[in-house]
Amino acid sequence: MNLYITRVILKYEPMRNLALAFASALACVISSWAAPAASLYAHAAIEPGVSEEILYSALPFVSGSASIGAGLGPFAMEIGAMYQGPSAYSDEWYRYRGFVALFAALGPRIRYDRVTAFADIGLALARYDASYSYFILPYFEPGALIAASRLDERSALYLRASVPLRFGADSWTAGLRLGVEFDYGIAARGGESK
Amino acid sequence: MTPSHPSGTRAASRARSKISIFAIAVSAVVLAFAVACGMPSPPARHALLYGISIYDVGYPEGTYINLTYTDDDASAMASALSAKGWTVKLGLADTQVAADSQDATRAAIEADIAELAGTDGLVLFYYSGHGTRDAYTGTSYILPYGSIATAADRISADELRAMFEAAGLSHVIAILDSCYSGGFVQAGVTVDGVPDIFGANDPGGDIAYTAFIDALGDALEAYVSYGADSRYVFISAAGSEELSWESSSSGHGIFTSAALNAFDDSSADSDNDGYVSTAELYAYCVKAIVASWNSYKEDDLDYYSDGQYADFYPHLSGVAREYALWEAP
Repeated sequence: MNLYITRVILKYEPMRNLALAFASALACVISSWAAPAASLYAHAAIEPGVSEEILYSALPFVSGSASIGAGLGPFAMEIGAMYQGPSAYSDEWYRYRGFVALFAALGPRIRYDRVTAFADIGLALARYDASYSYFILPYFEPGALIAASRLDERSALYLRASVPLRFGADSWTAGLRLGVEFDYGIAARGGESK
Repeated sequence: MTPSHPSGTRAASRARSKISIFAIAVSAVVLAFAVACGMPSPPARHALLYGISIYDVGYPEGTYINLTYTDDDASAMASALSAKGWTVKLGLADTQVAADSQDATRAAIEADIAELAGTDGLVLFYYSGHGTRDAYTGTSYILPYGSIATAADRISADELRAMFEAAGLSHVIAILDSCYSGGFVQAGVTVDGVPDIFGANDPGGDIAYTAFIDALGDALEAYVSYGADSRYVFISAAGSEELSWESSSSGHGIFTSAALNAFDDSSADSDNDGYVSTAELYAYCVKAIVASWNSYKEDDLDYYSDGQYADFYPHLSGVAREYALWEAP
């Protein structure tokens, strides 16, 4: 990555402006009422997984997350928040610290019958519990949605399962993210939503 | 003849079944993880503690370059850790420094660390005494007994880490109650929101990021420029350009006084898992210092430094790990 660009654009510009820009992009998608197969969704999930720092052991953790997003045609983008609890302790009495994070992700969604496959790439900005240490976690999250219940003409419930892989600079985590997604179609489409 | 269910009801029933099965599967997985999270039995735990109050034997404690309570800090920490199951080794330079064979010199510290070679358990290094900082290189040092007369006997952050590395130690916690000790703390892959000179009236100001998202740029830079920092967990009493203080009211360093209270205070275990971890100890000390010292000292100009105010803020390494230190009371 170009460090100059990182410094100039991302360090000295107030970060909330960038967040606003991202939110604006999301709003643009949301406001695309005339677009085919546009939808809004809200998602809540829990995620058991394992975390490992380089040279140390893999340890289990549990996290929870919630997000909102918008789908437009074959793509979806979402923003959300998560909390990853501290991991279990190792035999040497260490564990991986818990953290809270904000994340944003983007990726394709491909529907086949009642199943929708997706593969998001995202970026999380996290802060460790009990201190002011902030860090970045890029991630890749392949997964699938299965239609569970159609609530009315526009809205439906989906079961969502995914495998987020987060790549910290000094550690990685992998989990099984299981949750429920509420989907609201904002543009006409044939058949079931999504 | 049994009437058939309307199709809507059947669909709703199927959906409920799916969601129920899904919820049960999720609960089972989480339960399995919870079961895997029991606390292992304690590993071997060794603590090396050093307190230097006398740097010049020609003067009593608290005068000239000598400190007053730093030896008491190390002694009290040693007693408290010993009571929690740690094996402790104490090196003091106090009023008995000559009689004690100078067991808080650089050579003594080096030898004590080397003696732990092969230990696969947990090692805690504690230091209370003077610290200094080279203004040209920005390097922080701790000052063992004898190092004021002989600069080569100071110990820098790199040298201290090298001593741990040379002994093959993987699990080290270093707690430093000394001036400029923040220079020993590496942010690693993180960016530390606590400025090097903390204080509303100081150049560093308050905590750096008023909104969570403001840290994004610096955190991205830390990510792309990360170069495998130390794996050891350091807690410093003060920033890399700050002084740390001791107080007659507690008879200890301000930071160490807070740390000692954490041994007997169940609230130090903030996540209520029954153990006090390094991050919890850090947070406990921060809270105590902010309440009992900074709130009164942020407007007090510190005449020993270059126009700083007497408030200060501890720092914690940015490594992903934290260690359980002791069972909460």
